Amino acid sequence: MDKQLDLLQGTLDMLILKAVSLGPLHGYGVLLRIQQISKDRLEIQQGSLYPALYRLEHQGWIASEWGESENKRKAKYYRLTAAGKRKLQTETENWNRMANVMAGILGTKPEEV
Amino acid sequence: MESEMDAELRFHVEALAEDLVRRGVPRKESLRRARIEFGGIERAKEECRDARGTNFVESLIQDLRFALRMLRKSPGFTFVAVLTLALGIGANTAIFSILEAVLLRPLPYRDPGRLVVVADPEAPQHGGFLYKDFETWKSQLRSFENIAIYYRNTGISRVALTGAGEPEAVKAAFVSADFFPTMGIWPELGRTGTSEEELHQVHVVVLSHGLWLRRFGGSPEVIGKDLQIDGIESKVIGVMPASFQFPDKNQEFWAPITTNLSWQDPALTTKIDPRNTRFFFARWMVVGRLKTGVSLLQAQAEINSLFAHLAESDPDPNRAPVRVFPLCPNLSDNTRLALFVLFGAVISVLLIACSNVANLVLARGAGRTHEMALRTALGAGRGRLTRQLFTESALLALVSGCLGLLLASFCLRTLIAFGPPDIPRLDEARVDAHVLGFTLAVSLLAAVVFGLIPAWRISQSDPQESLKGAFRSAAGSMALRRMRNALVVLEFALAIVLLTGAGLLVRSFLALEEVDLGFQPERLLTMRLTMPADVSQARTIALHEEALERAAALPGVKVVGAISDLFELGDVRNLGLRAVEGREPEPRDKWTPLIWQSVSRDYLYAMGALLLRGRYFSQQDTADSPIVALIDENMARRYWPGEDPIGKRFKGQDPRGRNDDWITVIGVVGNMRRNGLEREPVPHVFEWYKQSGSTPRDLVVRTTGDPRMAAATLRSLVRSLDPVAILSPVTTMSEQLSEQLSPRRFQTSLLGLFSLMALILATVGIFSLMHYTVAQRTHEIGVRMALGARRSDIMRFVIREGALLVLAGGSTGIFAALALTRLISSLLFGVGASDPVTFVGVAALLMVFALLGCYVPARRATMVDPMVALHYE
Repeated sequence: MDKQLDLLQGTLDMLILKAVSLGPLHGYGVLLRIQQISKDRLEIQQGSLYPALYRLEHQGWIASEWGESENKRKAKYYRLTAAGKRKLQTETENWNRMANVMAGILGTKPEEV
Repeated sequence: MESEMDAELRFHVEALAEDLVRRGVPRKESLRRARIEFGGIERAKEECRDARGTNFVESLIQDLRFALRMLRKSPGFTFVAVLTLALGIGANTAIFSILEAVLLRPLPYRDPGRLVVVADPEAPQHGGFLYKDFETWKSQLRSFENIAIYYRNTGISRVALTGAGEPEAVKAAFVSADFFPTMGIWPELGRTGTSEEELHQVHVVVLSHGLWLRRFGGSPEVIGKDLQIDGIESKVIGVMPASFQFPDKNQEFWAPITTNLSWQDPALTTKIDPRNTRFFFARWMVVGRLKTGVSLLQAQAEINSLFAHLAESDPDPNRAPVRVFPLCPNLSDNTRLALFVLFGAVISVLLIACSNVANLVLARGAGRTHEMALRTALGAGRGRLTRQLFTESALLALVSGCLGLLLASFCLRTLIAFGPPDIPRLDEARVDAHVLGFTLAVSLLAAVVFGLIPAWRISQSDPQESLKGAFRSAAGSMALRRMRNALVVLEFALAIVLLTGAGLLVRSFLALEEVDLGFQPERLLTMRLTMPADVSQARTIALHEEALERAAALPGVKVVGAISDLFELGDVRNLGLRAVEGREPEPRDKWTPLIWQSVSRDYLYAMGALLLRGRYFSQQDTADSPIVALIDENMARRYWPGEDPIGKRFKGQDPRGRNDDWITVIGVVGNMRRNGLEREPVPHVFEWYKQSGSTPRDLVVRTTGDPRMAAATLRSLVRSLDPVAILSPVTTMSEQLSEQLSPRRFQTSLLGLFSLMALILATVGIFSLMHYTVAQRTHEIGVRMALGARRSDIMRFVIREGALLVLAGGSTGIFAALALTRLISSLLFGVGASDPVTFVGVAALLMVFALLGCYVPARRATMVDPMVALHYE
């Protein structure tokens, strides 16, 4: 396994939005999904996951309802709302633009200045 | 919400645990491992709560629930704290209700701020207006919207009501037609008099609420009924609301100014025209309503210039300058001061109660530092903890506030019943919206005082320290100890201030009971005997003579006397003598207070006055013999200092009776405290009523045995003499004197009660502090004992610690008391504001209580078993 990366400030929200955009998930599922799609390269503090979920719900980007888990237990499922979808889209665009700019800057060679 | 969050997190941890099992972790281990992997669950919860938006109400309910649980968990603490605070808050609420009703509540008139009284600058209660000037004032004054004039029946000449029921003498006012519109008050039933009625002297009358209830049972049919006022049928036209107590408390009716008997026939009651004579002008009172925006100063300036103008156009020696006073509750300065002193006292009691509770909270807080540290470590923010602790305090204070309110409304009834009759509007004191607001504010303020400081203190403590040291860290929290000590010092300082004030009042009260009255009050009955003004003078005199004679013959009666006024408790006016033989008459500015009374032959003997020189009235004095008088010591000193006054002659100020005769002094008696127990006796002249021409109406009956035995026979005897005679209840002289002391008794017992509360609370304060200290230092005490300290050493050690605090508080308090008692010197009698006996006595009392408070914990300390103490923890 590669060395795990610490999460950049503010990126956990995006990861959660992305994870639930692929289908409704309970909290533990969100954790698993992020680990799965990041191929375990990101270190997620489990304790900080729930405050983030509550915050996103409070902001109206995700909604929750109680459902039944795979092993027939009651669990709280989160899904993306319409507002969340738009938020994820703009955040994604912002991120990509930012990443491009950063990559450009960081890739600059002395002769290009 | 809370349980959903729990369920969600539990699901997470359990799912994680199952995955761990699948990865080969033993099932037993899995849950623990999952929790470790998850990290701080409590912290996560706290953050979740914050994240989903702080719902104020929700967290408040949560805090309240927790606070309730905490208070229920320590019922002893809760009980003591609530009781202490309820006492403090209750006392505050009760006194505030009185203060509010008597002083703060606006007078029940339209726009009362614009109402003024125009009166004698030195004695506003005496008025001071020439009636003949009134029309001029009314038409010329520009600063006033309206002015009205009225004539008040003073205690000397009450109006008699006859007709329905037994005749009675009541206080009344005769008012000009625009009196009620000027005051801005309307009757609750019917109407008030018109200017037509005033002009034509129509006998109509507006009743007070009290008289309406008493004589007419509160029936609305009263309008149009007749009431006999001094023998004249008067038609009832209206009833004023109970709140209208003007000019005096217990005013019984208002009638047109022109229907007053002395107005219609001045000769009936006096030989002089009351409208234009200085001796009687004092009774004309003027109230005015200023125009909007006109200040007292502007009104005064206008009055001054009008006064100067009148002095030129119509000079009159009877006209005296007048001043504009704002109309305010008719309250003596001392009563006002006493109310504020009592308010200060209850605030101090509350402060002591608060410090006691703060101390308890701190003591409990010391025990809770561990809990707080744990909660901080688990992720509770400092602000959150403070809020939690403060919620507990606020809840405690509010519960106490409710209880205090109950206590106050219960006590208020007693206070009103017990209160002196001279405080206006006292009976209107009740728990109303203002009082509720005050109680709420006071409770919350108390919560801040006793809750916020400890809350801040406790949440401030370093979690690391207290977690490591666990409970033993108490010794480390020196700051906490210092704060607790400071609170106890404050308590004792406040207590000693209150005790000193109360002690001085008690000493004054005792001094008054011991005061030399100048007469013998024991076995003396008194009774007032008046006639309605329509009854002929001859019939009145006949009644009085018969009463004197027949009463003297009653079994058990030694001697009977009579005097115009038993006591003269009002202000005594300056009076001059028209002539003193062999001397120039005195100009008016040299006049001094003088009391002139008509007495029966045996009055001075019946009172037990001390005859210093000369003789009493005797058989040799007749209605036609030369006029003679007895004077008192003060009178002798005032007019004939260093001379023998016997045989000296003078003329009275008031040319009554045998108009211009010289009056010869035949005897000198010792001074009597007839014008108030607390006031220095004023010079007196006693004239025999047959020579002065006025009838003495107050009987004094000296009995041989218990005066109460003769009371009933006396009354039925006098009743049988004349059916229209107005009789007061028969009272003993001791009751009369006790009545005079009632305002003082009220102040003294209340302040005494509050200072006792303060003393007990402060004692409880030092007790609980020392008790706690001993409990905390069991270890240290054990060590000392193990090292050879004897029980008496331990005892001394504990008591010394307490005594130091008490001494610090006591000496601070004594300095404060020295400064503060000066403020109440006008309430003191026969004792200085820094009376050493009081100060020493109070300090000693305080020390005794404080030592008592320390002794019990100290004894407990000596019981410590060193073996157990060393194993403690």
